[in-house]
Amino acid sequence: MKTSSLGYLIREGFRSLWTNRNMALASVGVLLSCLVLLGSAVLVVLNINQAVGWMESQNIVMVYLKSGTTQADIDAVQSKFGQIDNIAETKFISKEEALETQKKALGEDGDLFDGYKGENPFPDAYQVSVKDVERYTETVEELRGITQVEKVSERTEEAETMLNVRNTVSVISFWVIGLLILVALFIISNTIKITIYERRLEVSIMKSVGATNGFITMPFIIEGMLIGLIAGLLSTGILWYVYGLAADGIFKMSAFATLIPFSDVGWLILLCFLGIGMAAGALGSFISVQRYLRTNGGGVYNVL
Amino acid sequence: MIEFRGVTKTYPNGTTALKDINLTIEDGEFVFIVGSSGAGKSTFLKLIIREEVANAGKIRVNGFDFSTMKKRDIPYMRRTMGIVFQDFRLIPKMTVFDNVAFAMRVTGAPPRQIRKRVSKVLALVGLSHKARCMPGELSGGEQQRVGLARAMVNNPKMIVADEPTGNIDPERSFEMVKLLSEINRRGTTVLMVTHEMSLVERFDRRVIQIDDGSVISDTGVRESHEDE
Ligand SMILES: Nc1ncnc2c1ncn2[C@@H]1O[C@H](COP(=O)(O)OP(=O)(O)OP(=O)(O)O)[C@@H](O)[C@H]1O
Ligand SMILES: [Mg+2]
Repeated sequence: MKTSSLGYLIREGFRSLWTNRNMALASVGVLLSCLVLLGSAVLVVLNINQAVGWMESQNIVMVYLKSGTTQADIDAVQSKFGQIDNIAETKFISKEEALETQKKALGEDGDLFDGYKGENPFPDAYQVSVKDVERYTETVEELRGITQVEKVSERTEEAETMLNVRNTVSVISFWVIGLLILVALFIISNTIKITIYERRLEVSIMKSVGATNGFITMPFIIEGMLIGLIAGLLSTGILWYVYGLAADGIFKMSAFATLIPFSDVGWLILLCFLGIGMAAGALGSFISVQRYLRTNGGGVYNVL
Repeated sequence: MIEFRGVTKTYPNGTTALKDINLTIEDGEFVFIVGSSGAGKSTFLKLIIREEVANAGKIRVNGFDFSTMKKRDIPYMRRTMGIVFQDFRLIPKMTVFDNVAFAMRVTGAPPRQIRKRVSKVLALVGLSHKARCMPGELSGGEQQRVGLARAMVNNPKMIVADEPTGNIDPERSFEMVKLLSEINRRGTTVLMVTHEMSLVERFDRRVIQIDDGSVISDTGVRESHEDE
């Protein structure tokens, strides 16, 4: 396509967007809600992943062995660990070490344990770190299955809750966003339908002088993409602002909990939003124009 | 050149608008198509511009064989013809110049060529001085001349006009046909539908009369000079 035509088509796209600004605004609104929701969901999921990842590194599963374990038992347990693929690393803590640690932790009251001389109340134990937090429960069950194991410490409830929240957010937002994208496509194609209807005289003249369908479609596609562009820019701005507020709020609640900085993901989000927005705009337009050109509206006679 | 061989057109509601039409219109001819209301004149033009598709028969227009032509070739086929409508069909919010330029722009012509060519066709229809006017500021006759300029701007082989004088007074109608004759004299085929027999009688041209979907008379090819 020649550059002079391209300039003409882009001007036409802008002109038509402006003439039709009320409907265009509605389209921008729906697309924008859709994108903000998508962005929020992604940010929630990313932050939970980060938090759970952190907990995972902190959260070492304690495996306590039955009392009266011999060296043979300890070796047996060690080899069982080798068969569980979700184990990242293990560290043996003997009952003597456990006692020492506990004494130190109690400080001055450490001599309380002096009464136990000769009879250590702590079991031998392993610190086990898990590779994939998703398979946590499964791994805990496997550890419990080892005969020499007395008990396995449970994972913290916070991590469990967070993973549940994350999964729920993912599933719900997937459906809601899917639905909203359909609504956005519907509204965009209706907006463009109105534009086409307002310009049916021009379209019929274009057809009569032999403009190709591609050429006729182009200004409308550009108009749709402009809608997407505006929605993409605005929604990134809104998300940035709201995320800032949320980060502040969470920081006030607990100084240790910090969110991923927006600047880490902002450019990617902007890029994705522009891409999704413009693709939705172009698609919505395309559907509408094709439908119009296929029906009698796309004719030369009797279109007014 | 237009060739119809055994062409029949029945609309989806069952109305047969044209029955077994056979005719040939050579390049450079000037043809009036006459007939009463509902005879099938517009249907004939719609088949030529491929707005409607024939149910039977063969149609060839300006080297395009409609039975083998692809859908995506229709725009290129239409560039070989200029269409003039009874109701002018000018875009109200564009100047006369832009209305004519529009037809070139949407076929991808470069701006410099557009300026030159639009000035030329506006001069041809005698409206150079109205180039900056809006269509609403023109008389009916002038508006139709703009319509004709637009039809001419892409340098078509053929002008197809459906009652171009239907909305203008008799004196302007006569001038309009003279203008079409001038265009024809320069080599463009002209096809004009009208039901004003008094107008047709003032020009010695080939006349095809359609009634109830059939050609009932055809004066055949004439020498292409007018004879008032
Ligand atoms: N889209 C259509 N659907 C069904 N019937 C149609 C359609 N267009 C035209 N007809 C019918 O076909 C016949 C021929 O119509 P056409 O428009 O070709 O007549 P015409 O000679 O141009 O008449 P007029 O002088 O009034 O313009 C008429 O009976 C008309 O009612
Ligand atoms: Mg008619």
